[in-house]
Amino acid sequence: MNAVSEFFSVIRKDKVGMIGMILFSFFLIIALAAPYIAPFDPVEMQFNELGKLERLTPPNSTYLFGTTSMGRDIFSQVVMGSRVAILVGVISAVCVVFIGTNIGLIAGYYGGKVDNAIMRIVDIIYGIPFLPFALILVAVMGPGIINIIIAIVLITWRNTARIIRSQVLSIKQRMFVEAARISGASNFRIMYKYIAPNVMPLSLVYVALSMGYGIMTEASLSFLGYGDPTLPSWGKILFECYSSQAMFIAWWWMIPPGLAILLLVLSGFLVGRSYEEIANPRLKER
Amino acid sequence: MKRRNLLLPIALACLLLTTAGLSTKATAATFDEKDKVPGFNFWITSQTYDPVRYEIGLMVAKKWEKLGFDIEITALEWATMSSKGMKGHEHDVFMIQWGGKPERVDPMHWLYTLHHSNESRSGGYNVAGYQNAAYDRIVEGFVKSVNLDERQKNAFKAQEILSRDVPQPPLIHRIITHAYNSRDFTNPTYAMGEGLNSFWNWLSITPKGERKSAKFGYVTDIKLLNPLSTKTGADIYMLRMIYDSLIRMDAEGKPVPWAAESYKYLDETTIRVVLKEGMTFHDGKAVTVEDVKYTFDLILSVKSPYYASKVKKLKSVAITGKNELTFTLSEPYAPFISNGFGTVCILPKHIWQKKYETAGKDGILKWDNSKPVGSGPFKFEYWRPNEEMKLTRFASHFRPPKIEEFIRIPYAKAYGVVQGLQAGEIDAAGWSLLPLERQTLSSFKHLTINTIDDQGYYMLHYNMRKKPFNDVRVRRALTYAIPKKMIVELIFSGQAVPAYSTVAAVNKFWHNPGVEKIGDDFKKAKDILKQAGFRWDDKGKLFYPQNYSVQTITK
Amino acid sequence: MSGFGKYMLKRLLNMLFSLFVLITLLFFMFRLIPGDPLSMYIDVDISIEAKEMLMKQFGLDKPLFEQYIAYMKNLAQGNFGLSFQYNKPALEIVGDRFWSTCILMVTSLGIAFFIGIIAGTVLAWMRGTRFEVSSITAVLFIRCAPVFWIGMIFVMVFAFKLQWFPLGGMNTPGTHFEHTWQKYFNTDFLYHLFLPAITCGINMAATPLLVMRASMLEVIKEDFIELATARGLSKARVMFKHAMRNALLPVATLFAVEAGLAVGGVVLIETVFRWPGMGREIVLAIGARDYPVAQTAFVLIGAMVILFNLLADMIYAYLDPRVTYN
Repeated sequence: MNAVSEFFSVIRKDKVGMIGMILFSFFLIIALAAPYIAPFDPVEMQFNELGKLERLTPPNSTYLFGTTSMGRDIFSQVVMGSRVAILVGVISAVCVVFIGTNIGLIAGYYGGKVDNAIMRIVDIIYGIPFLPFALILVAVMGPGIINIIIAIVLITWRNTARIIRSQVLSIKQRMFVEAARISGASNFRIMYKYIAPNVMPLSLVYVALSMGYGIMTEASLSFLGYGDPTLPSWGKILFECYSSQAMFIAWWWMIPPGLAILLLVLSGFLVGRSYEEIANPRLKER
Repeated sequence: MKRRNLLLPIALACLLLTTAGLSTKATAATFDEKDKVPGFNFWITSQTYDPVRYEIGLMVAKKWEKLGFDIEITALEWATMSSKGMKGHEHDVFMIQWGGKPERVDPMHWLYTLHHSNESRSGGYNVAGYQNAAYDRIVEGFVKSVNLDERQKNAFKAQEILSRDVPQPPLIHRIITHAYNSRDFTNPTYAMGEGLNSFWNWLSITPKGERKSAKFGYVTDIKLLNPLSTKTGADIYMLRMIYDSLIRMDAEGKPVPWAAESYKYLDETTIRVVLKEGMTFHDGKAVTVEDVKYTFDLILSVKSPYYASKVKKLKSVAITGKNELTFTLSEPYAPFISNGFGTVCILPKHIWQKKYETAGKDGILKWDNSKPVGSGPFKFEYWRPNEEMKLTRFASHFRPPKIEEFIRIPYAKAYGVVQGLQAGEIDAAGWSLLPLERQTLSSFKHLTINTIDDQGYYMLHYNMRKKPFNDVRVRRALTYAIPKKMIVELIFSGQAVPAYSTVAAVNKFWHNPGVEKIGDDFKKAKDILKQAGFRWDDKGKLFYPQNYSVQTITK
Repeated sequence: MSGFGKYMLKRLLNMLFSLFVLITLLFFMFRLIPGDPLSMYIDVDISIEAKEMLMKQFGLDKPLFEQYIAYMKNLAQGNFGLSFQYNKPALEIVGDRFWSTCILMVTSLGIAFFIGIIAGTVLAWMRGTRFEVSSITAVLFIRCAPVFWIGMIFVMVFAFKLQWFPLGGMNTPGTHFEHTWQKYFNTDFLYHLFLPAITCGINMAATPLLVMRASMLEVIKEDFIELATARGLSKARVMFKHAMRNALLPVATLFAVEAGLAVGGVVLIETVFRWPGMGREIVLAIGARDYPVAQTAFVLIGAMVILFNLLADMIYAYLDPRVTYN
């Protein structure tokens, strides 16, 4: 994977990108080691020595971020929640970019009717209000992490497809593609051997950017009460805090999960932006 | 409980599962896989809908798992659960909350509707699919008799059987905890099963100062003001303020004459009603026996969805005097007084007849009746859906309210109601406060919080059509394992009481205090299974006895 | 017809087609959701027969495709169907919500672009200072934070602790309005509008701000700015009078794109601030399985998104002469 190693070498040279990368690695490590880091089971109610429930205990040395109204350890919830965030973010980003890149390649390369049909579909999806639609999809398919990822992917591949397509359109005109065609290479070969490597850097930018989008969507759905009911996610922690009215008395319940979302989304944004600026300075903020 | 665990290295998870599978096979020599008690799916509502039910579900499931059952927890939206479980009977087990409305003081609902075998077909309310011929006979006797002592005796017997057979055990009664603005208002009424959300409260609550309009917060909005086709309780509460009925259930749930001056059984199937004199509708026209007869005739002829089940035993209504009506039933049916007289809104004939002539039978059910005219103590002013509704005092009513205006505000979410109380946007709410909410509100000086016991409860619905719930011993063991007292302590902070009988203890006349108190005894739960020959393998999973035969109900 | 006219017509037709597909998709999706409108009502008072009768009344017993044809026919005549819950036309239920959402959105967008343009200019001016670095960091933080979380913090600080603003809602309850428009034209409404609009506005301000800043930096390099500076005009005057006007173009094109995105996002803000808008209505209607209402709200939002996309195209085509219309 040439593009990937190039990606890292570019990021390493940029300070902003580096900060993003460090942030992301930080969350990745937490997610991988979550069961070892989290001191308690996030759904287990905690009791003190006298057998009383630790209801809304402010942060202390045992409960680093305090406890919820049902006596659950918020630190453990936030730590375990990083798994959901990373999983949703990474899987949805990879799927989105995989689908988007391929569709963009096909549309851009073949042009004509194929392009027209695909771009029409992209147009339609652009007309769909994102969050309400995701809500309905989750209501149809039932709440669950997989369904949430599917809902995210189904709608967000459009952005990548559109950008990749326009990139392919310009690469198609270049000499080496023409040369390959004359030498009798198949369409498939031209698309994936000659064009794809040239759009890869851009795809990687979109992996980083889509990750933030996916994480934010999962958090939003959970906040509206349509998240996976069995998993501790950051959005769900915020939902519980908000709907139980605890936010007025328990700031420690509200601040950490929101901050975690912020930082993880930021990491994707920083990496994406810095790579975008270096790899393709002509591309402006869209 | 089996919580779907998120493992990033999925391969590792697969590996674990395979090894787990292999090791069960290794012990299969004595524990045949086909003898394993089948696992089941426990449906709980999502946290969005009811955080309490969600928490109870988790606690119960944990105990059951300890008992050796394989449990999968699924959190469902209410609409899904209701359609699949309440209507489709496709569930294994789920939990719902039955409200304690005053018309349920007569335990017809609890004993007959929820448990008679007639109701066990698809769409019926015997959700568990409880079939017991002996029980059916007892509740039929309970429904048909008009002799109070005999009815009570049958009700006691029915409760005893239910608490032994546990087709669908009651778990917890909340203690209704309602707050009101005591700085500006006084003399509220906390009614049984309803707290402040009661007709009697709206009549009694009295302004202390200049502000005569009282604002009440709710979670949901009303939907429809046509009494013939309404589908929700919220509508009915409002309609009963605008319209009068012949009798009303008082704050303790006893029927008292209202628009009827009096009523009397002539024999088991004939009831004579004398109408109160001098009543008028809000448009000034007098309320007459013609209106009453027209209302009941209309309900029968258009098959009103809401009223159909309440008046199904009504044969005819005749005007037998200037202020007198005679109701004839097709067979003796005791709940007719509370369900028929107590719920049917007296409609003004001059309005509804005109509508019926133009719209027809279908049209009158679809009519939104957006400006209802009744004879009740409150006049309809306006309603802006999902924003607010306003009623005003009807001064010429025989029991006019103390407040000048009643404003109903729906907040869509419970936390909205609580915020409204805090901010003084509303003066009272029909939302029963959870411990944390109560704690938050108690720091606001203008609010007073009172409580009243509820006859409604959280109830588990097993599905007796499926294994392992078809076995009474399993049901008893499961129910004994439920930590009712712990739930009260942890989830409600003591703002609740354990429920044992299908008819609540607060319902003193009908409640049988002698029923078996099932719950809070894990050891007993285990013993029941042990005695019946159930076995546990080395991982603590439950297996059926060798030579197992099912026992559906207690002998 | 001119090239531009033709192009716009084609876009319009495309847009109608998109809307048609969206409506069809929604129709079937809503019917796939488990649970039917009547399963919401477990009141034992409604018998099985009565429920079947109600299903018939709403045409829910007919085959799905037949229901679809009937729905589309009605829709073509501007009839969105009867709400299952309210027995009233769905459009009537959604109508008020539509305006509430519109006002919230337009105000937020206004705030976002106002902040974006002013702050973008200032930051371009301050380029290279420590102030710029910390400001950009703050902007990125706000952009990456969940908007509902910012809302929660604002409610807690400004409404609960400081009591400067109401906790939520759109009007103080119990106010009577002679007609609908009175709801929006009073100080009480503005008082309720402030916090949600600010929350939404600052969250959306990041993109126009960054674009404005980048655009300013480009413009500053050009000759006429240097000329103006050479003429001895003050820096502030050069920045706000000469450079800013020229840097506005890319921000203008951004407006419609942002608006399209914002329509979908208001659901969250409406939930946090209990704003009686369309987003909240959709969530409620889905919960109650009231398809006609949910669908109507969705179609209106969808139409708005598509309209804004079209507007973006138009602005873009108008401003950038290099775009050809075929």
